[in-house]
Amino acid sequence: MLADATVTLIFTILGYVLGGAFLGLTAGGVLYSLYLTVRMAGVFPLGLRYASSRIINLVAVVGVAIGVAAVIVVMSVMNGFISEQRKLIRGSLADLSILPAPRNHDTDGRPSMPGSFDEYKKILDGTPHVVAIAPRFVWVALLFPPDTLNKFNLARRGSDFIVQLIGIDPEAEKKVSNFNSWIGPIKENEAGASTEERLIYQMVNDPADPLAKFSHPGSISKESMIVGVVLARNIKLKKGTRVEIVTFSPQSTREKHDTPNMFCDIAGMLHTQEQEFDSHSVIVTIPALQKLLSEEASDFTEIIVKLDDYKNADAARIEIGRRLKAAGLLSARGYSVLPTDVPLTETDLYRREIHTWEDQKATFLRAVENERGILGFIVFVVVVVAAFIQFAILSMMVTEKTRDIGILSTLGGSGGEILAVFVDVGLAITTSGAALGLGLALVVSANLNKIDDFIEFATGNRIFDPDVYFLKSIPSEIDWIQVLCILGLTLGAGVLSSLFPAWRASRLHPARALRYE
Amino acid sequence: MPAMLETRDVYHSYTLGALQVPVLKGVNLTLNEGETVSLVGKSGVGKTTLLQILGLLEPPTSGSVFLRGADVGRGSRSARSEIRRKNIGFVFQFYHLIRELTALENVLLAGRIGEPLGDFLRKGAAERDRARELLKRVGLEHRMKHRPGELSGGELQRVAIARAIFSQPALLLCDEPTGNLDAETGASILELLFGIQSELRSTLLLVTHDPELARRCSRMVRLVDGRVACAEEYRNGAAAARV
Repeated sequence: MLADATVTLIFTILGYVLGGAFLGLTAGGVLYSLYLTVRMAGVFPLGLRYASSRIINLVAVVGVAIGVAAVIVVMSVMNGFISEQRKLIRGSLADLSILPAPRNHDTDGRPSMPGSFDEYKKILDGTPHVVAIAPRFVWVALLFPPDTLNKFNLARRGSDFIVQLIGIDPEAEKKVSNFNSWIGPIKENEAGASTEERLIYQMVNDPADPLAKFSHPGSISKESMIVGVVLARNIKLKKGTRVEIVTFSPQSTREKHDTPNMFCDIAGMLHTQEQEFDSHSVIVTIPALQKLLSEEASDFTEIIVKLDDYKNADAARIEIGRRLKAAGLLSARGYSVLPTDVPLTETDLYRREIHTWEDQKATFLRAVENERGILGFIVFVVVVVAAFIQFAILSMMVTEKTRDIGILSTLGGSGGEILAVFVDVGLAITTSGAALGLGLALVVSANLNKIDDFIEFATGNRIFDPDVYFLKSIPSEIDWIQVLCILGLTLGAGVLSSLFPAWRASRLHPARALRYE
Repeated sequence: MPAMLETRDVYHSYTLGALQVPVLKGVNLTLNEGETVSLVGKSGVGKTTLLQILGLLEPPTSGSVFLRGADVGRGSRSARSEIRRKNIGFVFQFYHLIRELTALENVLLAGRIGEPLGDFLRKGAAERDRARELLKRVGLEHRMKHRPGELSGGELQRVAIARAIFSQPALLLCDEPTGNLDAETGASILELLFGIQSELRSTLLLVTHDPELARRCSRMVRLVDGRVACAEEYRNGAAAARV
């Protein structure tokens, strides 16, 4: 029996061969048809007349138009969706994140970061494209609400209580991330914010000093925290609630467990529109976190970086990597699990410790893009069906026009001219269908939300639920390169479907064609 | 000077399943430059088949066809098409016009076959003028934009004649051109056809069942049992038998 890997390899090769053959045939067919049209231009008006004088050809034109319009609209909606998703998932992520691999401390052997934040700051401040940096101390903890009964929920909904403790320097953070807007009010029409979230959302008292000691009456806590709005909803937290945080310290070993805890008052909530962040993040100050963990050796676990332009991310990554590595602030091989004798390129090496925001969401972005490709492929089947209709119509036309083929032969028409006439018919049907479909797609894409409103008015049901997709309206974004590819493939399918009937016509015996009744 | 068209021992048979049905059984025929010849014979004797072989629409099963001394009967299909386009015009009993095109476009089509884009753009206006001129010549200046469905039998045949002479062919092959017309219209069509033949000095081969019409040609060829049985030459109404 063949191993799975072998089967996968065979199917992959088969896929490439078939895909390559189809693309090759399509490209060859289109080029040959265009050559015929130019070389035998004299019969082009006859092809056009054949295409325009039969009502049934309209069926093929409409079929192609619907197919093209469907593919373009679906792709445009998926483009818009991906674009909006990129904005949404970008929510909490900085242009670059530097995550140096920790190392064992020289003196006591405890793990710590390779240097202090100030050492990194000295280097990063003068690095090209870097506009601002901020430290973050990221740790993991369990968060217990005050309601004891809720503790029983831990067994059932454990993941709701596991939070990411993010220690920040508020002043530095504001310069790099959109922290100010995360703790600002949720706007009525803000994309990504559900009605329920808007209702439970409570702002911090003082946005200028968001983590200042919270002056809730009766508060006995020494620290404040900001929680994600979805987390607040999930475990029923309110502004002023006192919660307990339990974690483990970095010094915990197999022999000695150290599980410090801390009580904090909730100073307010934040909303980044990124579901994952808003449901598992708790913001505290770095000193508060260091104190909780009794951690003195390290004052950060990652550094977030704002660039002058995200387009420079790759260049900045290499420059930052070179400088930090030269200063001994990046490990030699990052987190690589590859054997040490396997060489890594410079970019690969830095990619392991310096991430762009897209690197961190690569799987999700790839999944959505893959989904767009699959959807486009499925909808393109409509165009293929239209091509089959065109094939059937042209085959009927060749039979019907047998005597005309004989007439063309008496006028000196060769097989090439007769082929050209029917290819011209196919080209006329495909191009007019594609043009009509493109126009239709542009109109539909521009009015998707009006169409949705009308469907809701007519049927009482909406196609698009904003709360499900965290978007306020159906997004749509036309990518003209994509449109050109769709039109090219449509033209290819149309030409391939007309080549066989046209070839059959060109092979007809002139004298017998002339006698055809 | 070589003959306009000559056949030597042309045999032709059709295949019906396993059967070979012989139609032409050794036809030897010569058509000289500028002469008018009628081809007569009973139905099914092979007149139309011979016409199609002479018009290079079909290669003979065996034998040769010479056009101005060149053996053209067995060339490739595209080579025969090229020769046909430049040298031969056809007129049929049932007109054989393309019903989607107007009278003008039907005539114009004869000039546009085989034209690449450059010629199509360069010569377009001149060809259109020539097609108009030809339609005027056959008396259809008022019918140029009419489609075949809107024309009478006589008018259709005039369009077909205009189309046949578009490229000033040296050889005109007519298959019962008046067979589908009343006597008066037929007579006017023949006047037109012979008039044009005399203007162009083309060689005219006319397949017909009508003895009167056959006698209007300078020579009559009779086909009997797939062979040329006799040829009669007419000069000022006198006939002399030539076997």
